[in-house]
Amino acid sequence: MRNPYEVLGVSPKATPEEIRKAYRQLAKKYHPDLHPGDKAAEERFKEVSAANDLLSDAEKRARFDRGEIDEAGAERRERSFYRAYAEGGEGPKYWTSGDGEAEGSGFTEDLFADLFSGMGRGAGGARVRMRGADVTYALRCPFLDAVRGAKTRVTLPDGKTLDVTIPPGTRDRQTLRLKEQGMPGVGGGPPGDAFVEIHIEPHAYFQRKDDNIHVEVPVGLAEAVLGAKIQVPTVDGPVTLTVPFGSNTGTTLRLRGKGVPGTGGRPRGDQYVTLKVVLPDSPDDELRAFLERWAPTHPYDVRGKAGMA
Amino acid sequence: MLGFEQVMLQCRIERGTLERWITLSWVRPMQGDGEWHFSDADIARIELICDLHRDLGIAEDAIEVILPLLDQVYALRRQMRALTDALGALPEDVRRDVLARLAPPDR
Repeated sequence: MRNPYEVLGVSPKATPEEIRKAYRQLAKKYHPDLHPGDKAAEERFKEVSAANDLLSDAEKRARFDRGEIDEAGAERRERSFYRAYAEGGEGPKYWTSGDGEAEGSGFTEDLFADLFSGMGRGAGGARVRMRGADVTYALRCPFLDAVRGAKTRVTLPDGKTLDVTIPPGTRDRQTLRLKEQGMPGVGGGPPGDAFVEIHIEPHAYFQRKDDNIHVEVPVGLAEAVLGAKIQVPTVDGPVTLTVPFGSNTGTTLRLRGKGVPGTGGRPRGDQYVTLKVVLPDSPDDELRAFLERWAPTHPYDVRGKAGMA
Repeated sequence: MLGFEQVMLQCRIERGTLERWITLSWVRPMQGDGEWHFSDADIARIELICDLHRDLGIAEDAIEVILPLLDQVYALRRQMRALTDALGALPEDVRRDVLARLAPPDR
Protein backbone atom coordinates (compact mmCIF):
# COMPACT_ATOMS: atom_id res chain seq x y z
CA MET A 1 0.00 0.00 0.00
CA ARG A 2 1.30 3.42 -0.94
CA ASN A 3 1.69 6.48 1.22
CA PRO A 4 -1.77 8.05 1.60
CA TYR A 5 -0.49 11.54 0.81
CA GLU A 6 0.91 10.20 -2.46
CA VAL A 7 -2.31 8.36 -3.23
CA LEU A 8 -4.34 11.53 -2.90
CA GLY A 9 -1.58 13.64 -4.49
CA VAL A 10 -1.43 16.16 -1.67
CA SER A 11 1.45 17.46 0.44
CA PRO A 12 1.87 16.26 4.02
CA LYS A 13 0.97 19.82 5.05
CA ALA A 14 -2.33 19.80 3.17
CA THR A 15 -5.34 21.31 4.96
CA PRO A 16 -8.43 19.15 5.60
CA GLU A 17 -10.18 21.13 2.87
CA GLU A 18 -7.42 20.30 0.35
CA ILE A 19 -7.61 16.64 1.30
CA ARG A 20 -11.36 16.62 0.88
CA LYS A 21 -11.09 18.24 -2.55
CA ALA A 22 -8.38 15.87 -3.72
CA TYR A 23 -10.37 12.88 -2.54
CA ARG A 24 -13.52 14.05 -4.28
CA GLN A 25 -11.69 14.54 -7.55
CA LEU A 26 -10.19 11.07 -7.45
CA ALA A 27 -13.36 9.39 -6.21
CA LYS A 28 -15.31 10.85 -9.11
CA LYS A 29 -12.63 9.64 -11.44
CA TYR A 30 -12.47 6.12 -10.09
CA HIS A 31 -15.80 5.19 -8.48
CA PRO A 32 -16.41 1.69 -9.92
CA ASP A 33 -20.13 2.22 -10.30
CA LEU A 34 -19.48 5.26 -12.48
CA HIS A 35 -17.07 3.23 -14.62
CA PRO A 36 -18.74 -0.14 -15.07
CA GLY A 37 -16.38 -1.31 -17.81
CA ASP A 38 -13.13 -0.41 -16.06
CA LYS A 39 -11.88 -3.38 -14.06
CA ALA A 40 -8.98 -1.48 -12.50
CA ALA A 41 -11.24 1.26 -11.17
CA GLU A 42 -12.28 -0.75 -8.12
CA GLU A 43 -8.71 -1.24 -6.86
CA ARG A 44 -7.86 2.40 -7.42
CA PHE A 45 -11.05 3.53 -5.70
CA LYS A 46 -10.38 1.34 -2.68
CA GLU A 47 -6.89 2.74 -2.38
CA VAL A 48 -8.14 6.30 -2.62
CA SER A 49 -10.91 5.63 -0.09
CA ALA A 50 -8.51 4.06 2.37
CA ALA A 51 -6.16 7.03 2.07
CA ASN A 52 -9.06 9.37 2.64
CA ASP A 53 -10.29 7.42 5.66
CA LEU A 54 -6.91 7.87 7.23
CA LEU A 55 -6.25 11.49 6.34
CA SER A 56 -9.76 12.86 6.80
CA ASP A 57 -9.82 11.75 10.42
CA ALA A 58 -7.74 14.30 12.34
CA GLU A 59 -6.83 11.85 15.06
CA LYS A 60 -5.81 9.02 12.72
CA ARG A 61 -3.88 11.45 10.56
CA ALA A 62 -1.93 12.74 13.55
CA ARG A 63 -1.12 9.18 14.64
CA PHE A 64 0.00 8.33 11.12
CA ASP A 65 2.18 11.46 10.99
CA ARG A 66 3.79 10.47 14.29
CA GLY A 67 4.39 7.00 12.87
CA GLU A 68 2.08 5.25 15.35
CA ILE A 69 0.04 3.57 12.64
CA ASP A 70 0.90 2.66 9.09
CA GLU A 71 -0.94 3.24 5.81
CA ALA A 72 -3.19 0.30 6.56
CA GLY A 73 -4.26 1.94 9.82
CA ALA A 74 -7.66 2.72 8.46
CA GLU A 75 -9.52 -0.51 8.20
CA ARG A 76 -12.29 -0.66 5.71
CA ARG A 77 -15.10 -3.09 5.81
CA GLU A 78 -15.57 -5.22 2.73
CA ARG A 79 -18.29 -3.97 0.48
CA SER A 80 -19.66 -4.85 -2.90
CA PHE A 81 -20.31 -2.31 -5.58
CA TYR A 82 -23.59 -1.78 -7.33
CA ARG A 83 -22.16 -2.50 -10.76
CA ALA A 84 -21.78 -6.14 -9.78
CA TYR A 85 -25.59 -6.35 -9.63
CA ALA A 86 -26.65 -3.74 -12.14
CA GLU A 87 -25.88 -5.90 -15.12
CA GLY A 88 -27.49 -8.96 -13.59
CA GLY A 89 -31.05 -10.02 -13.00
CA GLU A 90 -31.88 -7.19 -10.63
CA GLY A 91 -30.79 -4.46 -13.00
CA PRO A 92 -34.08 -4.18 -14.93
CA LYS A 93 -35.82 -3.32 -11.67
CA TYR A 94 -34.10 0.07 -11.80
CA TRP A 95 -34.41 0.84 -15.45
CA THR A 96 -37.57 0.41 -17.37
CA SER A 97 -38.32 2.84 -20.08
CA GLY A 98 -41.94 3.55 -20.96
CA ASP A 99 -41.76 0.65 -23.35
CA GLY A 100 -40.48 -1.83 -20.85
CA GLU A 101 -37.39 -3.82 -21.45
CA ALA A 102 -36.33 -7.40 -21.69
CA GLU A 103 -33.52 -9.11 -19.93
CA GLY A 104 -31.41 -11.88 -21.29
CA SER A 105 -33.24 -12.82 -24.44
CA GLY A 106 -33.94 -9.17 -24.41
CA PHE A 107 -34.22 -7.26 -27.47
CA THR A 108 -36.88 -4.80 -26.88
CA GLU A 109 -36.58 -1.18 -26.06
CA ASP A 110 -35.74 1.41 -28.58
CA LEU A 111 -32.29 0.32 -29.62
CA PHE A 112 -33.18 -3.23 -30.54
CA ALA A 113 -36.69 -2.39 -31.61
CA ASP A 114 -35.20 -0.01 -34.16
CA LEU A 115 -32.59 -2.52 -35.16
CA PHE A 116 -35.13 -5.19 -35.96
CA SER A 117 -37.87 -3.03 -37.38
CA GLY A 118 -35.83 -2.30 -40.42
CA MET A 119 -33.07 0.03 -39.98
CA GLY A 120 -33.44 2.27 -37.04
CA ARG A 121 -32.62 5.39 -38.93
CA GLY A 122 -35.59 7.12 -37.44
CA ALA A 123 -38.43 7.31 -39.89
CA GLY A 124 -40.29 4.33 -41.32
CA GLY A 125 -40.12 0.79 -40.10
CA ALA A 126 -43.06 -0.89 -38.45
CA ARG A 127 -42.96 -0.97 -34.67
CA VAL A 128 -41.92 -4.24 -33.18
CA ARG A 129 -44.30 -6.12 -30.98
CA MET A 130 -42.42 -7.81 -28.18
CA ARG A 131 -43.20 -9.58 -24.99
CA GLY A 132 -42.17 -7.73 -21.79
CA ALA A 133 -39.29 -8.81 -19.59
CA ASP A 134 -39.54 -11.47 -16.92
CA VAL A 135 -38.69 -10.31 -13.42
CA THR A 136 -37.58 -12.25 -10.37
CA TYR A 137 -38.44 -11.55 -6.77
CA ALA A 138 -37.58 -13.26 -3.50
CA LEU A 139 -40.27 -13.82 -0.90
CA ARG A 140 -39.85 -14.92 2.69
CA CYS A 141 -42.43 -17.45 3.80
CA PRO A 142 -43.21 -18.86 7.28
CA PHE A 143 -42.52 -22.59 7.61
CA LEU A 144 -46.13 -23.66 8.15
CA ASP A 145 -47.42 -21.53 5.26
CA ALA A 146 -45.05 -23.35 2.94
CA VAL A 147 -46.16 -26.77 4.22
CA ARG A 148 -49.89 -26.09 4.32
CA GLY A 149 -50.11 -23.57 1.50
CA ALA A 150 -51.19 -19.96 1.89
CA LYS A 151 -52.17 -16.86 0.07
CA THR A 152 -50.10 -13.76 0.61
CA ARG A 153 -49.94 -10.30 -0.87
CA VAL A 154 -46.64 -8.63 -1.70
CA THR A 155 -45.99 -5.05 -2.65
CA LEU A 156 -43.51 -4.76 -5.48
CA PRO A 157 -40.86 -2.06 -5.75
CA ASP A 158 -43.03 -0.13 -8.21
CA GLY A 159 -45.96 -0.07 -5.78
CA LYS A 160 -47.95 -2.72 -7.61
CA THR A 161 -49.36 -5.47 -5.41
CA LEU A 162 -49.24 -9.10 -6.35
CA ASP A 163 -51.34 -11.88 -4.86
CA VAL A 164 -49.18 -14.93 -4.50
CA THR A 165 -50.67 -18.35 -3.86
CA ILE A 166 -48.15 -20.57 -2.14
CA PRO A 167 -49.20 -24.15 -2.91
CA PRO A 168 -49.13 -26.80 -0.14
CA GLY A 169 -45.78 -28.58 0.01
CA THR A 170 -43.76 -25.69 -1.41
CA ARG A 171 -40.03 -26.36 -1.12
CA ASP A 172 -37.33 -23.90 -0.08
CA ARG A 173 -36.02 -21.88 -3.06
CA GLN A 174 -38.91 -23.13 -5.19
CA THR A 175 -39.83 -20.59 -7.84
CA LEU A 176 -43.46 -19.75 -8.57
CA ARG A 177 -44.39 -18.33 -11.91
CA LEU A 178 -47.00 -15.58 -12.07
CA LYS A 179 -48.06 -15.30 -15.64
CA GLU A 180 -47.95 -11.86 -17.23
CA GLN A 181 -47.06 -10.09 -13.97
CA GLY A 182 -43.62 -8.98 -15.21
CA MET A 183 -42.60 -5.93 -17.19
CA PRO A 184 -45.06 -4.50 -19.71
CA GLY A 185 -44.70 -5.53 -23.34
CA VAL A 186 -43.51 -3.39 -26.21
CA GLY A 187 -45.78 -2.15 -28.96
CA GLY A 188 -48.83 -3.99 -27.67
CA GLY A 189 -46.93 -7.18 -26.85
CA PRO A 190 -47.92 -9.20 -23.77
CA PRO A 191 -46.26 -8.52 -20.42
CA GLY A 192 -43.50 -10.80 -19.17
CA ASP A 193 -43.87 -13.18 -16.26
CA ALA A 194 -42.97 -12.63 -12.63
CA PHE A 195 -40.98 -15.35 -10.90
CA VAL A 196 -41.15 -15.47 -7.13
CA GLU A 197 -38.48 -17.46 -5.33
CA ILE A 198 -39.75 -18.74 -1.97
CA HIS A 199 -37.36 -18.58 0.99
CA ILE A 200 -38.78 -20.67 3.82
CA GLU A 201 -38.10 -19.49 7.38
CA PRO A 202 -37.04 -22.11 9.93
CA HIS A 203 -39.57 -23.32 12.50
CA ALA A 204 -39.06 -23.41 16.26
CA TYR A 205 -39.35 -27.21 16.47
CA PHE A 206 -40.41 -28.70 13.17
CA GLN A 207 -37.78 -29.71 10.67
CA ARG A 208 -38.43 -30.77 7.14
CA LYS A 209 -36.58 -33.40 5.18
CA ASP A 210 -38.10 -33.82 1.74
CA ASP A 211 -41.75 -34.61 2.39
CA ASN A 212 -41.28 -35.72 5.99
CA ILE A 213 -41.47 -33.62 9.14
CA HIS A 214 -39.15 -34.35 12.04
CA VAL A 215 -39.76 -33.18 15.58
CA GLU A 216 -38.14 -33.95 18.92
CA VAL A 217 -40.65 -34.34 21.75
CA PRO A 218 -39.65 -34.45 25.43
CA VAL A 219 -41.24 -37.20 27.60
CA GLY A 220 -41.07 -37.76 31.35
CA LEU A 221 -39.27 -40.70 32.92
CA ALA A 222 -42.50 -42.48 33.84
CA GLU A 223 -44.01 -41.88 30.40
CA ALA A 224 -40.97 -43.50 28.80
CA VAL A 225 -40.69 -46.45 31.15
CA LEU A 226 -44.36 -47.21 31.62
CA GLY A 227 -45.73 -45.97 28.31
CA ALA A 228 -48.31 -43.20 27.87
CA LYS A 229 -50.63 -41.39 25.54
CA ILE A 230 -49.31 -37.87 24.90
CA GLN A 231 -50.23 -34.88 22.77
CA VAL A 232 -47.71 -34.01 20.06
CA PRO A 233 -47.81 -31.10 17.61
CA THR A 234 -48.16 -31.76 13.90
CA VAL A 235 -48.39 -29.27 11.05
CA ASP A 236 -52.19 -29.74 11.20
CA GLY A 237 -52.44 -29.28 14.98
CA PRO A 238 -51.97 -31.57 17.98
CA VAL A 239 -52.67 -35.31 17.78
CA THR A 240 -52.54 -38.09 20.38
CA LEU A 241 -49.51 -40.38 20.17
CA THR A 242 -49.04 -43.62 22.04
CA VAL A 243 -45.60 -43.90 23.64
CA PRO A 244 -44.96 -47.64 24.08
CA PHE A 245 -43.66 -48.80 27.46
CA GLY A 246 -39.89 -49.09 27.56
CA SER A 247 -39.28 -46.14 25.24
CA ASN A 248 -36.01 -44.23 25.43
CA THR A 249 -34.29 -41.07 24.30
CA GLY A 250 -33.86 -41.47 20.57
CA THR A 251 -36.86 -43.74 20.12
CA THR A 252 -38.49 -42.61 16.89
CA LEU A 253 -42.18 -43.05 16.20
CA ARG A 254 -43.90 -42.46 12.91
CA LEU A 255 -47.18 -40.64 12.35
CA ARG A 256 -48.15 -41.83 8.92
CA GLY A 257 -49.50 -39.21 6.54
CA LYS A 258 -48.84 -36.30 8.91
CA GLY A 259 -45.96 -34.86 6.91
CA VAL A 260 -45.82 -32.47 3.97
CA PRO A 261 -48.65 -32.77 1.45
CA GLY A 262 -47.34 -34.57 -1.63
CA THR A 263 -46.92 -32.67 -4.85
CA GLY A 264 -46.84 -34.05 -8.36
CA GLY A 265 -48.66 -37.26 -7.51
CA ARG A 266 -46.49 -38.28 -4.58
CA PRO A 267 -48.29 -39.39 -1.42
CA ARG A 268 -48.22 -37.17 1.64
CA GLY A 269 -45.11 -37.51 3.80
CA ASP A 270 -44.93 -38.74 7.40
CA GLN A 271 -44.03 -37.09 10.66
CA TYR A 272 -41.24 -38.65 12.70
CA VAL A 273 -41.34 -38.03 16.44
CA THR A 274 -38.06 -38.59 18.25
CA LEU A 275 -38.44 -38.93 21.99
CA LYS A 276 -36.17 -37.29 24.52
CA VAL A 277 -36.45 -38.54 28.07
CA VAL A 278 -36.30 -35.71 30.60
CA LEU A 279 -35.82 -36.27 34.34
CA PRO A 280 -37.72 -34.19 36.92
CA ASP A 281 -36.37 -30.65 37.36
CA SER A 282 -35.61 -31.03 41.06
CA PRO A 283 -34.04 -34.12 42.65
CA ASP A 284 -36.65 -36.36 44.17
CA ASP A 285 -35.89 -38.18 47.42
CA GLU A 286 -38.15 -41.11 46.67
CA LEU A 287 -36.66 -41.62 43.21
CA ARG A 288 -33.17 -41.42 44.69
CA ALA A 289 -33.94 -43.94 47.39
CA PHE A 290 -35.40 -46.28 44.82
CA LEU A 291 -32.40 -46.03 42.50
CA GLU A 292 -29.95 -46.59 45.35
CA ARG A 293 -31.58 -49.96 45.86
CA TRP A 294 -32.13 -50.69 42.16
CA ALA A 295 -28.84 -49.65 40.54
CA PRO A 296 -26.36 -52.11 42.15
CA THR A 297 -28.32 -55.10 40.88
CA HIS A 298 -29.09 -53.65 37.39
CA PRO A 299 -25.82 -52.41 35.88
CA TYR A 300 -25.87 -51.34 32.22
CA ASP A 301 -22.95 -50.02 30.17
CA VAL A 302 -24.28 -46.91 28.39
CA ARG A 303 -20.96 -45.40 27.30
CA GLY A 304 -19.61 -48.69 26.04
CA LYS A 305 -22.66 -48.91 23.81
CA ALA A 306 -21.88 -45.42 22.54
CA GLY A 307 -18.32 -46.46 21.75
CA MET A 308 -16.82 -44.27 24.47
CA ALA A 309 -15.55 -46.93 26.85
CA MET B 1 -32.35 -9.89 2.60
CA LEU B 2 -31.99 -7.23 5.29
CA GLY B 3 -34.67 -5.22 7.10
CA PHE B 4 -34.94 -1.45 7.39
CA GLU B 5 -33.07 -1.09 10.70
CA GLN B 6 -30.23 -3.39 9.60
CA VAL B 7 -29.74 -1.32 6.46
CA MET B 8 -29.73 1.92 8.50
CA LEU B 9 -26.92 0.48 10.63
CA GLN B 10 -24.88 -1.07 7.85
CA CYS B 11 -24.99 1.98 5.58
CA ARG B 12 -24.92 4.50 8.46
CA ILE B 13 -27.96 6.27 7.14
CA GLU B 14 -30.81 8.11 8.86
CA ARG B 15 -34.34 6.78 8.85
CA GLY B 16 -35.76 9.89 7.16
CA THR B 17 -33.13 9.81 4.41
CA LEU B 18 -33.73 6.16 3.55
CA GLU B 19 -37.49 6.72 3.58
CA ARG B 20 -37.08 9.66 1.22
CA TRP B 21 -34.91 7.64 -1.16
CA ILE B 22 -37.53 4.90 -1.23
CA THR B 23 -40.24 7.48 -1.91
CA LEU B 24 -38.14 8.87 -4.74
CA SER B 25 -37.83 5.30 -6.10
CA TRP B 26 -34.04 5.55 -5.91
CA VAL B 27 -34.16 2.34 -3.93
CA ARG B 28 -36.87 -0.22 -4.52
CA PRO B 29 -36.91 -2.84 -1.78
CA MET B 30 -39.61 -5.48 -1.62
CA GLN B 31 -42.47 -5.09 0.80
CA GLY B 32 -44.04 -8.01 2.60
CA ASP B 33 -45.67 -8.51 6.00
CA GLY B 34 -45.68 -4.72 6.35
CA GLU B 35 -41.89 -4.59 6.28
CA TRP B 36 -39.20 -3.67 3.78
CA HIS B 37 -36.84 -6.35 2.52
CA PHE B 38 -33.59 -5.14 0.93
CA SER B 39 -31.67 -7.37 -1.46
CA ASP B 40 -27.87 -7.27 -1.83
CA ALA B 41 -28.35 -5.22 -4.98
CA ASP B 42 -30.54 -2.72 -3.15
CA ILE B 43 -27.88 -2.34 -0.45
CA ALA B 44 -25.06 -1.87 -2.96
CA ARG B 45 -27.21 0.78 -4.61
CA ILE B 46 -27.74 2.58 -1.30
CA GLU B 47 -23.97 2.58 -0.76
CA LEU B 48 -23.53 4.06 -4.22
CA ILE B 49 -25.99 6.85 -3.44
CA CYS B 50 -24.23 7.44 -0.10
CA ASP B 51 -20.89 7.72 -1.94
CA LEU B 52 -22.31 10.21 -4.40
CA HIS B 53 -24.03 12.27 -1.74
CA ARG B 54 -21.77 12.05 1.28
CA ASP B 55 -18.29 11.54 -0.17
CA LEU B 56 -18.55 13.30 -3.50
CA GLY B 57 -20.74 16.10 -2.17
CA ILE B 58 -23.31 15.74 -4.93
CA ALA B 59 -26.64 17.33 -4.00
CA GLU B 60 -29.78 15.21 -4.03
CA ASP B 61 -31.36 17.05 -6.93
CA ALA B 62 -28.25 16.35 -9.01
CA ILE B 63 -28.39 12.69 -7.99
CA GLU B 64 -31.88 12.67 -9.38
CA VAL B 65 -30.31 13.43 -12.77
CA ILE B 66 -27.30 11.14 -12.38
CA LEU B 67 -29.04 7.96 -11.24
CA PRO B 68 -31.37 7.56 -14.25
CA LEU B 69 -28.44 8.23 -16.57
CA LEU B 70 -26.38 5.63 -14.75
CA ASP B 71 -29.28 3.18 -14.94
CA GLN B 72 -29.48 3.77 -18.66
CA VAL B 73 -25.79 3.02 -19.00
CA TYR B 74 -26.27 -0.28 -17.20
CA ALA B 75 -29.35 -1.07 -19.27
CA LEU B 76 -27.37 -0.40 -22.43
CA ARG B 77 -24.56 -2.61 -21.20
CA ARG B 78 -27.03 -5.42 -20.55
CA GLN B 79 -28.43 -5.02 -24.03
CA MET B 80 -24.99 -4.84 -25.53
CA ARG B 81 -24.12 -8.08 -23.82
CA ALA B 82 -27.32 -9.68 -25.08
CA LEU B 83 -26.43 -8.52 -28.56
CA THR B 84 -22.85 -9.76 -28.43
CA ASP B 85 -24.05 -13.08 -27.00
CA ALA B 86 -26.51 -13.36 -29.85
CA LEU B 87 -23.83 -12.48 -32.37
CA GLY B 88 -21.47 -14.94 -30.77
CA ALA B 89 -23.92 -17.75 -31.45
CA LEU B 90 -24.02 -17.00 -35.17
CA PRO B 91 -21.92 -18.92 -37.70
CA GLU B 92 -18.32 -17.86 -38.10
CA ASP B 93 -18.73 -16.25 -41.53
CA VAL B 94 -21.70 -14.17 -40.38
CA ARG B 95 -19.73 -12.94 -37.38
CA ARG B 96 -16.84 -12.01 -39.62
CA ASP B 97 -19.23 -10.14 -41.84
CA VAL B 98 -20.60 -8.18 -38.88
CA LEU B 99 -17.09 -7.36 -37.68
CA ALA B 100 -16.15 -6.13 -41.12
CA ARG B 101 -19.12 -3.79 -41.12
CA LEU B 102 -18.16 -2.45 -37.68
CA ALA B 103 -14.58 -1.75 -38.72
CA PRO B 104 -13.77 1.78 -39.83
CA PRO B 105 -13.92 2.15 -43.62
CA ASP B 106 -10.64 1.85 -45.49
CA ARG B 107 -9.13 5.08 -46.59
